[in-house]
Amino acid sequence: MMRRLVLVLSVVSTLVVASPAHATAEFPGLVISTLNIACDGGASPLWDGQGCMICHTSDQGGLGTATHPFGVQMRSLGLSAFNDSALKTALGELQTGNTACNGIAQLEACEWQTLADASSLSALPTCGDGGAPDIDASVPEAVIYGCAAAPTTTTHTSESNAVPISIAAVMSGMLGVALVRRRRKRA
Amino acid sequence: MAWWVRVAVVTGCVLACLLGASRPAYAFPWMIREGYTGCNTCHADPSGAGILTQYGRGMEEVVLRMPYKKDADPGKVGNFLFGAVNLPDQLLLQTDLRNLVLAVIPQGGSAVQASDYVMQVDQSAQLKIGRFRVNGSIGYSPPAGGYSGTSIYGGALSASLTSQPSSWGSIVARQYWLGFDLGKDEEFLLRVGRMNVPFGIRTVEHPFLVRSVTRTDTNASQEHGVTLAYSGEKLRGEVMAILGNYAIHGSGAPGCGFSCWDAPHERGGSAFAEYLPSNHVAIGASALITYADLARTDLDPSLNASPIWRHAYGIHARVSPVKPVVVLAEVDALLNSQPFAPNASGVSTGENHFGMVGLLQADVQVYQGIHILAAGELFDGHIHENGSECGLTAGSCGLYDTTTATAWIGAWWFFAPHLDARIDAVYVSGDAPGATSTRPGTSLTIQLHGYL
Amino acid sequence: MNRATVLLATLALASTVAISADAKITRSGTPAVAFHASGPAGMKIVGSTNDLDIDDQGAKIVIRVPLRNLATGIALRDDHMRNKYLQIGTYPNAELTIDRSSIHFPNGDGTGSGDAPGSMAIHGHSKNVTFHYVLARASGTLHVQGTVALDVRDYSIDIPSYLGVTVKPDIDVEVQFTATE
Repeated sequence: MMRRLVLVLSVVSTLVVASPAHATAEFPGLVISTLNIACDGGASPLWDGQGCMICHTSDQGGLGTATHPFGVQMRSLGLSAFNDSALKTALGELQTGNTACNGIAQLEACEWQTLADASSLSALPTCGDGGAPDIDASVPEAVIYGCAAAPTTTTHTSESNAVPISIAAVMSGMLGVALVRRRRKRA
Repeated sequence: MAWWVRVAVVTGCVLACLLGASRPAYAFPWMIREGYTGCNTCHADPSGAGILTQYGRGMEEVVLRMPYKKDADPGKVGNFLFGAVNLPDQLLLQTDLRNLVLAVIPQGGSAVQASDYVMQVDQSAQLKIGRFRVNGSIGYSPPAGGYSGTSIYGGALSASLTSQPSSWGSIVARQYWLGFDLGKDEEFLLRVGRMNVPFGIRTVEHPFLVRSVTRTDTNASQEHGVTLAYSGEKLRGEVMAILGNYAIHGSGAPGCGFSCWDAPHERGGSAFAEYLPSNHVAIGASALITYADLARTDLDPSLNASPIWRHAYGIHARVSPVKPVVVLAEVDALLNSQPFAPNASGVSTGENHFGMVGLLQADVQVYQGIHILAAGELFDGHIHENGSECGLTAGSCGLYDTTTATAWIGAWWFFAPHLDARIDAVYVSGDAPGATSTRPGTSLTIQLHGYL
Repeated sequence: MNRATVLLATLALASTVAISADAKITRSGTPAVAFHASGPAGMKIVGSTNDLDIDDQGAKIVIRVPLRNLATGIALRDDHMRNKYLQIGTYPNAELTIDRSSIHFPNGDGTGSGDAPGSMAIHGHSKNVTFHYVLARASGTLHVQGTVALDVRDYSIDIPSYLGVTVKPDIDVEVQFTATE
């Protein structure tokens, strides 16, 4: 009994371990220093706390969540998590103009939030001479996670749990049938 | 106790248990060392991974776990809840808990970066009456972006039921299906639902390039569809009609409608077949072809946000030359074919991405319950220009034109009933497109897994 | 050639054949005995042992396989197989008794094969069986391979079952050994 308790506690204790932080939290600071971004009056360009939302869908960052348009663009230029040198290379590509210029001019003008707010590539602020790429508005540009019930809405509804709950209901019914059959066999 | 009370109690337990969590399933292709060439004797999924059968639980105690008493009959300790509950023969229940601590020394970076991933807090179940089966798993994952102020992360975005990202995490369900056993010996299983994609060696190491680049891992790459599996003495295999992963959908400009919602859902097929000339040799081949109106640029940013034909063709082998040693090998050819479309940088390209990915892994059981694993991988990808510049990096064809190598070494200890621990050191030389779980540099992972 | 010469040659040839067929056979080298069983949906079990004796009784040849070292690779399964199902404490051997005359020995060095009847005794029960054999003689050494299909129920052996997995009653047995004459 004691051995079992110790084993269970060992398992549970691993779940509450909080190791020291830092995913790629240094990336926003690196963007600012690489691009020499300065705001009027010395204000911090990191309007959203850690500054992660220019790429990520939340300020906590996280693998698989760099789906904001600027994040997608940077990943297409070779950026990957934890890779500081790849970040510097990708920023260099933006600066030298080898790619379509999306937003870099606005970064220099301290409009960091504009990048985070952009809902599509076409909504990113453009350079004065480049112009936005010609992107077909009917082509979806992002993947949404989580079962949304209907194609015309993008909000989560209770129907998202419909399949597993219906399977639970089927299983319960089958279990009842199985137990009844067993009881009849014994009788 | 009246029979109807028992029905109500068990029904309530089943419903309660199903409010569980998400799980990358355990699959042990190296069980071929014990003469188990097929997976269906130990697993409800005939191609491996997932909830264990009663026999599978017994084998975990008899051949997998470190024995502390020689040749002892395991009794009931391997059963659900350590045998405290006697389940009806038709019912399988399994609760899985798995945690991983990851420390990364990044390429070009300075400090070691550490984080914690709750890989698995999960409940799965199967009920079989006659030849009809209902099987499912449901669980919980912390937010992919981590709990606020911590480095505790979750994942399995592509298997999330609730919207992601979120601050509280998500309900995830990797597998749920209805099945029917066919054939005199129930050697065929027809299933419909959300299932693992049959392709290659079903390993538990979902970050392996052969699994993540082909999107055939057991973490979150399941698809909805219909499968037919066959398990024979000399041949086994499975074929799947893929209907799409409906745990994700597309977005777009307001009013875009069904076509945008449906765009990233892949349709096509996948299959594998294995020839089993002896109890310790398996040789197989796999093929996967899918089409989607929208490539998964969230998984592979080297792709364009446009239609894609995705192909993967592979051969693999599992061999146990002597009992302590199992060698797994797989080589896959990859092709992502997309029409002309602007990429994320706005440059129009028509691209065929060719690639090859290979795995060689050795598992050595130095003593029952203790495994030493070593693996090496190679990914080599190229972009075939179709009359226009690649437009990504000057002088090259960008992210996909890369060669990436990985080296793994690990130790796995099945140290107690229902418990195992594992430590791995992994070196990754680059960032193979589509391999979202790997990162350049050196990492160390420590995992603890327990199940009821 | 006169009749006397022909007669002498015939007698010599017959005696050569008789000597080969009647020469006492003794096992040499390391034999290999294996059985192949199957379970539901493709499950396979292979058991093997290197124990085999030949008891040449003249008109009859008894091939005897001690079962104490029969192994399938999993210790608990071997324990169940030997003690619970085969009950080797009481029935330690499996024996195949063959009429010598039913075997076609090759003339001189060469190969002979065929099907032959025998009596199989396992677990205290006997049943007539037909087995297939291949004999290859080289310089006085016989290389023998044989196969036979059995049904465990014929020998009152309970059908093995463990944790919901039941082994099919049909098994195939293969034997290889060398013998000297």
